[in-house]
Amino acid sequence: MILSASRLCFSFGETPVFSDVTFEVAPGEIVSVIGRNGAGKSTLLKCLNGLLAPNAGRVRLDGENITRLKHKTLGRTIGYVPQHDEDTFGFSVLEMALMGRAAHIGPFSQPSPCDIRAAEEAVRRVGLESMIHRNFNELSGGQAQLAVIARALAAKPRLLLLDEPTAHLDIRNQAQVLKVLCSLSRQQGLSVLMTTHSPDHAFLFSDKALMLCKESPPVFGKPGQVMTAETVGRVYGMDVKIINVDSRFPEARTVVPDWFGAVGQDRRRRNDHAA
Amino acid sequence: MQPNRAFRLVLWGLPVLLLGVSLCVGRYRLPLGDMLSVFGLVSGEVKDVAKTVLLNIRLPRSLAALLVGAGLSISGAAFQGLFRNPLVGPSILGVAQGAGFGSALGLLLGVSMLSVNLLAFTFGIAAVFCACFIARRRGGKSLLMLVLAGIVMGAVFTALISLIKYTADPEDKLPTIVYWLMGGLSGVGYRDLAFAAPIIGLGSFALLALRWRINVLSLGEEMARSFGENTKLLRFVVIGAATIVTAACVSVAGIVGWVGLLVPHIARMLFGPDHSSLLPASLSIGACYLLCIDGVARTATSAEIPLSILTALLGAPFFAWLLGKTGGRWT
Repeated sequence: MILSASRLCFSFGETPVFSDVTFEVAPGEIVSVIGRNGAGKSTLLKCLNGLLAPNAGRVRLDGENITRLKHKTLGRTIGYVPQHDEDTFGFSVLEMALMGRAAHIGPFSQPSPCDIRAAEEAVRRVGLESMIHRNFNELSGGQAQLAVIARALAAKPRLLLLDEPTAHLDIRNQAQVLKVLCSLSRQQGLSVLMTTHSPDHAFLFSDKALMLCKESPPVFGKPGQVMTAETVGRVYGMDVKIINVDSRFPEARTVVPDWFGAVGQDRRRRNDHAA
Repeated sequence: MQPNRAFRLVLWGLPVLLLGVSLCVGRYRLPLGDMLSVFGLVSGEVKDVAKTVLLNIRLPRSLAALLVGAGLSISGAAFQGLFRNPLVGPSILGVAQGAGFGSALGLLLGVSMLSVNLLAFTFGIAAVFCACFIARRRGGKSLLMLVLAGIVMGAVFTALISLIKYTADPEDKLPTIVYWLMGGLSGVGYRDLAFAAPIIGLGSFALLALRWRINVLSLGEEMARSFGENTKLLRFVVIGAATIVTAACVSVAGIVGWVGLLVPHIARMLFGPDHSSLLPASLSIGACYLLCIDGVARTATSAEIPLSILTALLGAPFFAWLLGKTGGRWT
């Protein structure tokens, strides 16, 4: 196991965010975290790389409690891709990726040619080599997301934590980001833990799923086994159907929310009004 | 963009060249030959007056212009990176107002010039220390808190400066204080330089050493921490270094506005946002800018023009032009 969390609890003051979260990430595995807004997905990620301290429970990296590890070690082993990333000054993609090398560069040093090579390599791995000197702020949403992933990869981490990497992206760009993550995990043995609002991604691209829910205990396991219409429905507090969209691949399932049941009444009223 | 070798040569050569030029200009006419022979570069007889003008008046003054311009600019650039905001200047945490109060107090009490320097320096640091003390709290929007606390300290010390002006003798002390606060290098001697130069040098050196790290800080606290950065320590060192530099600048030159805001922008337009090149570029451009401004200040009219008036009158329209040209984008 590269990362394991046992019985994690977190609360902001008196407000509990999540409790009793236990899961593991093996090398090369992709784990998706799903749950409603406010279920504590982003907070959980920040507990895993030491940005926040959980109220109870342990996070272990290679068997070692992360509170005992140096910040630099964490920074080199775990790459973090936040949800919104803005850049005030308009750094280039390469300059941005170089910053991911911070844990490898001494406090009074400048990036070495070796650091620059690692940053260029990271940019190549996400397929942005043609944009390497472009201004980060002029990239499209999908390219910016890939650039931030490149920045996390530049440190050569063994685990990547991503906070909703596919949010605000069109379906093609979502596929592009997921493709990059899959190839990193399959070819380089990189472990990936990401939060998402698309349960479909958990079915299609994940080895494990972690479902966080305020009302019920968290569920962790293989998506095909633990993600049923009942459990997913409970997580989102809404009836859902789970449908296989391609008979050749049993994992190609999609979650169809019962929109009509949830907003049906109002929709009918609108239609009546229009008539 | 990494400045290439030719650019680097210009960056370090230009301030030296301008230092030479500024030694030649002034109301006392001094031929180039005389100047060179004072420095022993050419043999020849020189009048004692020429020697005094050059060595005791122009040289310390020009060196001070160079140091103050460089110091204010590099601390401005560092603060813009730290606060992730291209609109802040070196006095965002109240250091200039604090130092201004210190020197006004010293002038009111009629203490020696060195004591005025020391008072200015001490109160400049005290203002920033108070701002940091007010802003200290766990997590949250700590940068915003820091800026607000800086505005608070700036307001307090501005009021205290007014109080001193109000109580000062209007015949004698008040004009000195007012004139001093407008910024100027007219009375600068080697004693001031001996006080300020080591401090400005030390602070600038620390900022230059950490220049790449300021990039990482400019991504925001959370991101920097995820890279394993000790953001608290780093921020403390950057604020401390920029503060001592600015306090030392104000203690010799008074409050010289605009330089620390304007110069980092020019540097950013020329060399891009990477602080690895931005900080050295700001240092050099700032030195050149203030050497030119000071040259104008002492030659344009028969009386000396306070520096702040010129930095704003020449700097503000230039800044407006820059804004128009770049459309407010800082890249």
